[in-house]
Amino acid sequence: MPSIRTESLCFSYGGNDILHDIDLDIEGKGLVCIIGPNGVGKSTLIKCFNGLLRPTSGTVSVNGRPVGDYSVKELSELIGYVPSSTTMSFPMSVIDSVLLGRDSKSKWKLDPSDVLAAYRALKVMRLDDMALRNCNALSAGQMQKVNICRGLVRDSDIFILDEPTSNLDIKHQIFITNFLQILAEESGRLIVMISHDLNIAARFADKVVVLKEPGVLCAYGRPEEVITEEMIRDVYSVSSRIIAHDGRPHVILDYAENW
Amino acid sequence: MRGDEPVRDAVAFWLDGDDEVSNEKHLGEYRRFTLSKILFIFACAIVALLVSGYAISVGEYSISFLDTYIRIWEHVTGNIVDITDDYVVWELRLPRVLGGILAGIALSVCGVSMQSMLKNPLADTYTTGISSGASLGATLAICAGFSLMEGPYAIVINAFLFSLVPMMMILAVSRMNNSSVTTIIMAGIAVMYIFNACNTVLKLWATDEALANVYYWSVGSLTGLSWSDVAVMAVFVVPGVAAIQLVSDKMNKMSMGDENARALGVDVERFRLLCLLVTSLVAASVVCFTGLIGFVGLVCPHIARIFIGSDNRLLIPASASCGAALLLVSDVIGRVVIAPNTLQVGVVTAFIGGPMFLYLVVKNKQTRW
Repeated sequence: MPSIRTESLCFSYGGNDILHDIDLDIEGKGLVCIIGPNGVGKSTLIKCFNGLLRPTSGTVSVNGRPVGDYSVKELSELIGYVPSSTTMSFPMSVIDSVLLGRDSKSKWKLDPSDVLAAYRALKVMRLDDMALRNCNALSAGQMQKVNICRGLVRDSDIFILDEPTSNLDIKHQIFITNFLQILAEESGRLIVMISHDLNIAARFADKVVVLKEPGVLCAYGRPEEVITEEMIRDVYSVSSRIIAHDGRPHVILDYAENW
Repeated sequence: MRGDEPVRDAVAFWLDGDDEVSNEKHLGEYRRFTLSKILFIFACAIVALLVSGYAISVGEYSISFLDTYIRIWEHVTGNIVDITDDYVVWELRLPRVLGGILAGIALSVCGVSMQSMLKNPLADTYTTGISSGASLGATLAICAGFSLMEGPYAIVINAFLFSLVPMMMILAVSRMNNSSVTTIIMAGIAVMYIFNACNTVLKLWATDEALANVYYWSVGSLTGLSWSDVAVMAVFVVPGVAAIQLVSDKMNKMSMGDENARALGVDVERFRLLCLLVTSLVAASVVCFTGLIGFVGLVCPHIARIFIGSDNRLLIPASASCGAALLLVSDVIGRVVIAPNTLQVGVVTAFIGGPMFLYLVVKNKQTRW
């Protein structure tokens, strides 16, 4: 069963404390959304999960084993990662960019299963007709979907996405988050994503992690337990009203209480 | 959940796969896409092969184009018919051509590697200081008589060892905490300026003869390359280029940025260090024999990129064949255009490559880098 566990996780950038004593135990299949204000350490937290950043103190374990004990390659096979944005120094074709997510068995021979997986991912994201185009001909939203495709084709047990819906319209935001939720449910994967949209998180996440200033864990649990008017006021200083929709909380935002 | 049937279908499609017909269609499309790039590589390789024959045939002692290949075949099979032809082809001209091919391959592949590793389209042996290091080594040997080793190879060895100095500095900088790709390039440029200043100072006290020799070395030439020179170059270039080709998929991942490359399984710091080390050795092994041949390392990767894109798995062989072809064509033009005098290959590569590159950049409206 896929799992990520942190114990007293702290992280500092050049003396600036970002994360303080984060204790989290995320276990089993499902979609986990991480929410919280800008700069609170959401991206830092997920980069500690997959070893891109080394905690200042505390531990991170993936599938019961400390992250530091994995090699870079082992960790990359275990955890698929989609960054919030990608800048390619020399843009390549869309299909080749997706294929970077596969570790081809042969260095010389084309592996049909790699190519078909890349096309399948592009088809899911409705980008298959752009497969041979250069990436720099794509919009920010399309590039975002290419990044998700690259993460999908890695086919790893744990899938971490940093704001995968930030450049997308509402239809795509709903589709991708719903897709990730059902994928987690059907394939037994653990999928962790950062989102700024409370309603998207409330509607599709199985569990929600809330971080608040100054980089501390505020809450972790089911959306109906975590997404409350009090939490939103406490974390975001925003007044709101919560109504129930399809058995899940739905946030009606009111006004910012201070600036 | 209400209304999520289309999304469930998409997940089922992702998990179960596409139908046979669509799979065949997609595979065919990708194969055709790749084939067109492979054709470019073959076209450049054929040009290089044909120009090789022509380069061997031209000169004061003329041999027909077809005869050059026959003479090579006769020598290889031990069935030498004309001793003079054999001497001219095998001893005088073939080392120059093979040296040109090796230099073209090495400089352009080093260009691809440096541009990918440093994520900078202007990175080559000049911007990383390797050329100026080699130049200082040669100038020290020619002007000041200072050489780290004695003998006929004093200039070559000096140039080789001094070209490794900027590489050592770059590697040291890249090992420092918080060093970025920009820091590495800036370190290379700083070294280049320091070495150029040293070069200028040395030239102030140089004799006219020494100055002429330094000039001759600094413009780059294939003249006088012997079999032993070619053998030494090959010892570095062949395994070096093969090693760079073997890690081309990792170089592709590096183009996504350090963080993404690491998430895709590349040990970024170690990989960059090893790549820069191999690249510098390959570049230094060529520059110390040929002198400073500019432009090939910078432009050939970009010319190849315009035709085949930025996938390093294909870009490396494409740049290699393009570099070999450009260097040989330039050498032939340099030997023919003002015969019986010779125009140095480094000058011709800039004259040919510059306008060609400008034309392609302007014609190719879509920005690729």
